[in-house]
Amino acid sequence: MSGKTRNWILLSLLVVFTIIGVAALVERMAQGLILANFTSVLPWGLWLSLYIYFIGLSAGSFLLSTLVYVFGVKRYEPVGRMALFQALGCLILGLIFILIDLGRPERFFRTIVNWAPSSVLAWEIMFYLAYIVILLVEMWILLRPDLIPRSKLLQRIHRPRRSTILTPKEKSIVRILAIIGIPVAIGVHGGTGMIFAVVKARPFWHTGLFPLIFLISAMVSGGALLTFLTAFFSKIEQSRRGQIVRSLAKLTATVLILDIFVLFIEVVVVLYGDIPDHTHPYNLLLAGPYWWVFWIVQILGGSVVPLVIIFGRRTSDKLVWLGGAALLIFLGVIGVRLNIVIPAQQSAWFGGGPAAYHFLKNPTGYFPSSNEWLSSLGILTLGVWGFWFGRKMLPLESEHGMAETDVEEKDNTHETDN
Amino acid sequence: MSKSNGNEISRRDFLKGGVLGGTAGIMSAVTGGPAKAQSSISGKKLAMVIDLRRCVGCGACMIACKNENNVQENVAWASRISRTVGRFPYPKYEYMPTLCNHCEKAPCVKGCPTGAMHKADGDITMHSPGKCIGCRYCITNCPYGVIHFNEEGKHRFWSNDKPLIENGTASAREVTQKARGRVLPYYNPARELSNPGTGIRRKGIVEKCTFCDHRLIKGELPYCVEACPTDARIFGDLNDPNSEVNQILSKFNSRRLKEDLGTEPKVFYVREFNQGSYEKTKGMV
Repeated sequence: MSGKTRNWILLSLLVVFTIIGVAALVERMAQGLILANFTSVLPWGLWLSLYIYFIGLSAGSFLLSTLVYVFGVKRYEPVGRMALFQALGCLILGLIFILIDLGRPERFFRTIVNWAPSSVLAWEIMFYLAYIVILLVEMWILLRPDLIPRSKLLQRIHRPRRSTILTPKEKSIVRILAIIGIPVAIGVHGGTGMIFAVVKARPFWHTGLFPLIFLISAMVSGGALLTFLTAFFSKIEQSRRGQIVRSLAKLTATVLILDIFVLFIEVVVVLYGDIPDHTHPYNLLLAGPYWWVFWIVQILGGSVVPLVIIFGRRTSDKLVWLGGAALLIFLGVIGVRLNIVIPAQQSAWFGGGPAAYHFLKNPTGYFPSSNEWLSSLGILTLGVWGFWFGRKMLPLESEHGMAETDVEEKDNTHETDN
Repeated sequence: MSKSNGNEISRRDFLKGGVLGGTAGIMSAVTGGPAKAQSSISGKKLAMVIDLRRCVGCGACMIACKNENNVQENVAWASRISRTVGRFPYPKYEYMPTLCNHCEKAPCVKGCPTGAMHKADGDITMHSPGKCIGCRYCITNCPYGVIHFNEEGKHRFWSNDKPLIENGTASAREVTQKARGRVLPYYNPARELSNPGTGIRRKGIVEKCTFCDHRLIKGELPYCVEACPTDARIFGDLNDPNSEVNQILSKFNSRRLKEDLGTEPKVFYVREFNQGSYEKTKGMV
């Protein structure tokens, strides 16, 4: 099969998935949450899990980008813009997921109009807003020099600009924005963890480790996505790309080990403590009906196999293997998110066990409905389209960046300063 | 003036009469009593005591609640936990009516991002349907599982295809069609009194027990209290040292659900559903 036919098959598959997914989204908007399988006992399901997944991806990607724009790690310079683009794209996908998860999506503005300062969730909205602004401004300043020569529209509305290199002033703006962005991004996802951590009604979530777990696994997923995209979709020349991918994969793997370690601490503390309310959700996690989401998706597929590949003697050099390992980690974090959201709610006993929910047929046995799956698919395809168009239209892989300090730049900055 | 209020006053008269004499009793009946009952419930700390010894487990509270508040199937604002515990030959049946605890420090209120869930007059935990975005954070925040999400349109019953009696009656959908869609579902306009727009409950938002605040502001008891055939539910103001709830709470050990979470629930349980008895014994080794 030639590359061209393969591309056509992939494209037509994507189109089909998009049509199905968007139809499911329309159906969900028309009929409401009756299409979803979550109940009053288990109110948060697949959509909410994917929401925290994408918000985590976004925050993780942003924090990776600060390696370039704050800490000046030159090695990652070529993928810095991609990391920022990822951050923006994943944030939008995450917000779409939470939007369709709302019973009244059209009222989302009430979180701002009727802002309630006692709610972690309300603060979270503020963090999201600040984060979006920072992301957009930072990306605009970074991409502007390369974007203007490309776009006739921008040339017409923007004052002319000869250089395609950032001025020192612009560089410092980017740096300052990225510095402000660090606590904001930590607030965005650490705060998302906080939404769960403050819920004293669910002992599984009610631990100070949760925001930390969220942040670490966010770094894992963000790093994994960047590694995967760089390995397979980057136009950076081969040898340099190999360097970046190897380095990113090692970094991601290290954070992943930290992630597993923190999870291990929590599991040991809970099982050793042996408080029924607390151990019950962990029993469900480790040996419940969805044991495979933990053992197969999160541990085996999402951690062990990729770690073996990344540190393996024969595979740690090969781009394809590393990219594949990154993809596995990236998918494994979906399991991490599901494991955070679902078992805690399945063990909602409220002192009475299922007897307290005699009026519901299957109060805690949750499996996402077809509409939940298909609309998730629809949103994911939107993400793929976004990536495709973004890569085509935006200068995401320009050689120009923060680290550039050649003679030419000095001349140009002189001109623009005048 | 409702019948229940009359009772309340006469009981208070009786008590006060015993201490202060007839004049004071009449005074309180003329000034404090009826006026308070008719005016708003602000300043009160309304609470419920459920006497499990009196409770016979009939479920009238659940039915009354559904009737009064248009609550559909698959949702129960007033619910119960019932279970059989213990080992043969001495099993024990337990029954515990449950409802929103209207916690003083309600986690649902603290967590609500729009302030839709709020503490209202009488220290009742109330929900403004117009502000709710349906994020269901209150449901996850509630340690008692008494907040419900209404994902169905109003009154699903009327679009039901299943006949009430197989091969016997028409289905609800057929009835609706025959009436050209004009069948109005049963709905209690009284609920509009306290919180406009809640007469028919809305789709896509959460909902919960309101202590029947539309009745409270008229000086009537919550309907589950009214309907309880054994007077197992006792309603009153914790701020009033003479209220019935305070009198009962002073006599018995009371317990509340998950007190260790510090939510300060305002539904108190006294005595045992199945008290039983046993012969005097010292046991044996």
